[in-house]
Amino acid sequence: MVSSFCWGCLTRLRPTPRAVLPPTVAAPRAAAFHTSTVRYALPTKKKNSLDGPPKYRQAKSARMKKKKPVERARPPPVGERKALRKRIVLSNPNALEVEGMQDFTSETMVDARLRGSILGLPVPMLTQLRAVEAFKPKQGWSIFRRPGTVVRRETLELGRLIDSISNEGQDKGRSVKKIVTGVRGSGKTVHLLQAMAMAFTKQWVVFTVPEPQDLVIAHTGYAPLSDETPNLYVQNEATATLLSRTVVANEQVLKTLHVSREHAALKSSVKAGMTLEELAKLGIQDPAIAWTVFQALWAELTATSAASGFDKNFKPRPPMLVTVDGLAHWMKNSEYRSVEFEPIHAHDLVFVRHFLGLLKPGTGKPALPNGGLLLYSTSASNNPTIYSFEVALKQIAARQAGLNASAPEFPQADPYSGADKRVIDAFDSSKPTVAKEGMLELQTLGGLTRDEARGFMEYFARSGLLREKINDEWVGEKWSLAGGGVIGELEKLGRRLRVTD
Amino acid sequence: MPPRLNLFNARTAVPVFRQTSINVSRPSIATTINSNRSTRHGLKTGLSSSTPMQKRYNSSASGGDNSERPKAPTEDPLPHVSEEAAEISKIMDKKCDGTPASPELEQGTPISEILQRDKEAQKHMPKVMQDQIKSSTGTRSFSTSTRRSQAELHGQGKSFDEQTAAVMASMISQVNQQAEEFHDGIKFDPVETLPKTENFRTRYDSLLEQFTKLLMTDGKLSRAQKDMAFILDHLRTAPPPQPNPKRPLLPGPPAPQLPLNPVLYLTLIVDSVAPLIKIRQQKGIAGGGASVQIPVPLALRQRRRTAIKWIIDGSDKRRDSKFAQRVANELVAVAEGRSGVWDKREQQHKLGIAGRSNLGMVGGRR
Amino acid sequence: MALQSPNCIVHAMQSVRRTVQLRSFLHTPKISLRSNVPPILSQQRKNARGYATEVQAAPEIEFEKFYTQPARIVPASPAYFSGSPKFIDHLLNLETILAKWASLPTVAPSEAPRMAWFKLAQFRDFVGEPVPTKKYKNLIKILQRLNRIDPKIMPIEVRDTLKTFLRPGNPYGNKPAPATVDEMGRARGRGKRKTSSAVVHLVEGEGDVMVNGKTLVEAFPRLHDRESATWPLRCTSRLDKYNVWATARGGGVTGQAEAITLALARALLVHEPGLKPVLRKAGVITVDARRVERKKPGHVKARKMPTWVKR
Repeated sequence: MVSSFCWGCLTRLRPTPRAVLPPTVAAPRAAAFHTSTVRYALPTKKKNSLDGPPKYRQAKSARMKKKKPVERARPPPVGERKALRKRIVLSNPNALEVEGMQDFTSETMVDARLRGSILGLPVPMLTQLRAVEAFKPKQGWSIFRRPGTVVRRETLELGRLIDSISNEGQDKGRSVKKIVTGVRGSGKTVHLLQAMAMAFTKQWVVFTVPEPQDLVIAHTGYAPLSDETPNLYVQNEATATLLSRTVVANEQVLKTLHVSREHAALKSSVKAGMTLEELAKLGIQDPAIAWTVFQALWAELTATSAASGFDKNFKPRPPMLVTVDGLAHWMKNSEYRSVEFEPIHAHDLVFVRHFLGLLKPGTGKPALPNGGLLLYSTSASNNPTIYSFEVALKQIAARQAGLNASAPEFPQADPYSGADKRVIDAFDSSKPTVAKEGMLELQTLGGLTRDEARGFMEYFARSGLLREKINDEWVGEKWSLAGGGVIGELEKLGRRLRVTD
Repeated sequence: MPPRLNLFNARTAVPVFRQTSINVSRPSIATTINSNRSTRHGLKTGLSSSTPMQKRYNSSASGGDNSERPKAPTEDPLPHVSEEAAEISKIMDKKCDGTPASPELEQGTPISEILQRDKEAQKHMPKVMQDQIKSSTGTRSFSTSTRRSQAELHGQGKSFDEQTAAVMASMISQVNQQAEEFHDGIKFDPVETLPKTENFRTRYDSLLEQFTKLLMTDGKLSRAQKDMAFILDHLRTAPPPQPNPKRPLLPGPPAPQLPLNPVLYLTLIVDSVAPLIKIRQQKGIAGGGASVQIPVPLALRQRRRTAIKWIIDGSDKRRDSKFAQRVANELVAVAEGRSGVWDKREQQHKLGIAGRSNLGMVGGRR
Repeated sequence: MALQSPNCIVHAMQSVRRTVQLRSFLHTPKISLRSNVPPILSQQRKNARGYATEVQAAPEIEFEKFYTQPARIVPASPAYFSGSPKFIDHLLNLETILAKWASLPTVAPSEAPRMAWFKLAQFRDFVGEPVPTKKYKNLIKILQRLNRIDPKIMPIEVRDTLKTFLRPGNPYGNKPAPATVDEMGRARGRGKRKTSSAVVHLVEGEGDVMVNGKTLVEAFPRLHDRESATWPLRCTSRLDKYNVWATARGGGVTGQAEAITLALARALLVHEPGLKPVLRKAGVITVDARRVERKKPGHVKARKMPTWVKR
């Protein structure tokens, strides 16, 4: 019999509407008889609903955390870094005392037998040398027991020169002008230092400009010199520091000298019988008149005789040493601006102009009438490249070799290079007319000889810093590595440590 | 050309000497070389093939019936490997200065040589050996080998000695000749030895190199070297350390002398705070997902690395302006026992001691 | 086809190797067994057929005939059923030879005569079979071991066998002429490192070093580089006995310095060949062939891939 129930209809049976049916519970089958707790339970949270889609190519480990920034202590106070950078340490108590090391004296500085050995700087002189800023931070003074310098060929020549200028003889009162050049690390600054040390032993007056760059980077105040010369600028603070350097370094000499003439600009403060030290201190106390004071001091020191009425205490002025370390900075436009906001050329600063003017042969009397030494050096680190300055140096060398300025071989600036005429003119000194004045010379410092290098390396070994057997072979190797005995490189090699031995 | 002793040139002379000396107890170099070969490749050839092969080569011209006689395994024994090496080095005219010239020598020195050197030991040496020295005839009251006829040995002894001397002389002259050839390609003084630090790649002290590389950031080696130079300069200019008796440095020169040898000073500092162990957190040993701390010993380089890392980390908290200055100050602080690095080291060691018992779990698992 | 897959070959090889010892005494019985059976069968068949007609005497059995012509052709080589029978035969042959002469004294690998073995492709042509790279490497290893046998006592058998594996021609025949010091006393050396290359002219002198026309100090401000550049002279303490004129091009400072090292060492070897072991030990004539790895398309750098982003 066929059932009256239609299978087709059964399959097509529509589901009962949801509302009619009792709510279905998919929860635990085991407790089907008792459903109330499940029914009233809070709906279960869907897992990972917040995490979003699965992530790939990402570190899933919980350990991978970003490194926390380290809790650093606060940075050091302002100025400390610079102080640390500029700090000059002259002694290392751990280093051994070198036995038999001699000091700079008037005898040792001309003793040719000492060539290649180290001469210590006398301890009382160190304050003077520090005052004139003869030491630079990275010269390796800090690893030796006490500062000392190598006696090289140029040192002995310098010693003889200074000796002859100050001693009685035909060379007494001569003024010599030199520009010192050389590759980096060849000992130019230390050469100046040696000159200062010798000058101090000989009781000279020393003027130094240790950082010419400081004068042209607009870090000190400046003002027009006067109404008559609006294009010249004076730097009073810088002059005051120069005066203070000079006073501290040359205190003993300046105390014995007295004012020998009347100074119109300083009529109120300068009295007769005043020592030159007191005169210079006027400028330190009141920087506004520093430049005038400096000019007065210079006039006093270059005086050959006293003006009338001041004869009582007049003593002949000692020779002078003037050093400038790093000339190239003075050969371009400075960072200062004029009223029209035009850059001011460094030669328009009276300070610079004064020291560069000394290179020119004096008219009537030498630039340093009492004799002395102008020692200007170039620098090979942190210095601008100035084409006209290079040409000027070449010209000096050519003139020194005896070439005439009109000769075809005479180096000339390339007319298309835009060479600075003022720079070339500044060094264009014709033959001096005065007998006691020397010509502008160019001195190029090279490397040490092997013997001198050996003496230097032995100094390291005797100070206990170098633990190696020093023989000619070893020294020759270091000499080659130092580019032919460049002393700065030798010093680096000496303090370098590779192995414990 | 290397100063190599060409043993093959020497060996050409040897067969002559082999013919007669087959039964002699003292083996020559050539024997040892060949027998070494045969043992090395014995596996491939099998036992049966190795002996005839060797015989064929070494005793090709002999024809004496001695060689045909089968040998007992203990007869004609090989010397100890170190004796061979000593023999070779003697021929090569090297001085025995305690440094092993070849890997064989490293295995030990023959006892006879030690006795020769050490008079004290000679008194206490075995009776057998004392007898041997006393009876300098070369015969013994006992026998260590089977089937050796004394008469044979006596009969051949003399001629053999002469032959050996001749062979040795020829070998020595050959070596000398080679040495002369070797000096031919040199214009100036020859260089004898080259220490390890004269190698282009390993020119710095190993610790110095490691420290420098750890100071380096962003691959700037040159800057790191500058920093290192600064640190060493600081070590040699800073006042000598006043060591803390509770945290002493490793034994070395007295503290006031340390600044004069900064590399040694640095090595002492680093090695003194270097931890002996590290703590490894291992999961799943104890079960239940808990991690267990297991102390693991560190090698020298690893120890130094950890110490240097700690020192550099410790220096981060200092207030000095310059990185190198900070590290240098931290180093001095370590030398004086003031640094936190010491605490880290003690902490690490304490953990390691506490975790000693966990080492058993690791072993049990394996 | 299946045989050619490496796995099958390995199995085949092993089985062949195992049988190779047995081969000698298995060979003869095999044939005798097989050849003895058919004559009896044929005889019976013939008898059955001739049963109805007449009785004939069976012809005499010619045993020689059966021996010469087996019913089934047995391959000459047991490796016939492996994928590469010829290759395996060569290999087995070499292994037997090696086993035979294993006890001969050998020389150091550096002193063994240099041999130009077949390249893999050439060897495949030679045997006419696909030979896997690794198998061939093993074969070469055996060849080299055989080649290390002292040349003076090398058996003729070994020599001849080795000859069959040589490339035609003599690739190592033309050697560069040894460099010499020229008439001005200069030796020339070239070296490379990173992307720099350097040429050094070395003359006897008193220790002047010029790099690209500048002094050493100007060319290499860093002490480490200066030391690197002069290392060959330094470690032999000849820095004050030679003058160096170097030209370095390309790359950076370190690269140039170390290129000069290599060039200088090579130039020094021209002057003094006897220094080679020292210089080798000093690590200055070892060429550092590392170069910067090229950047690839699709990569950020040489190997770095861009970060994966889903969309």
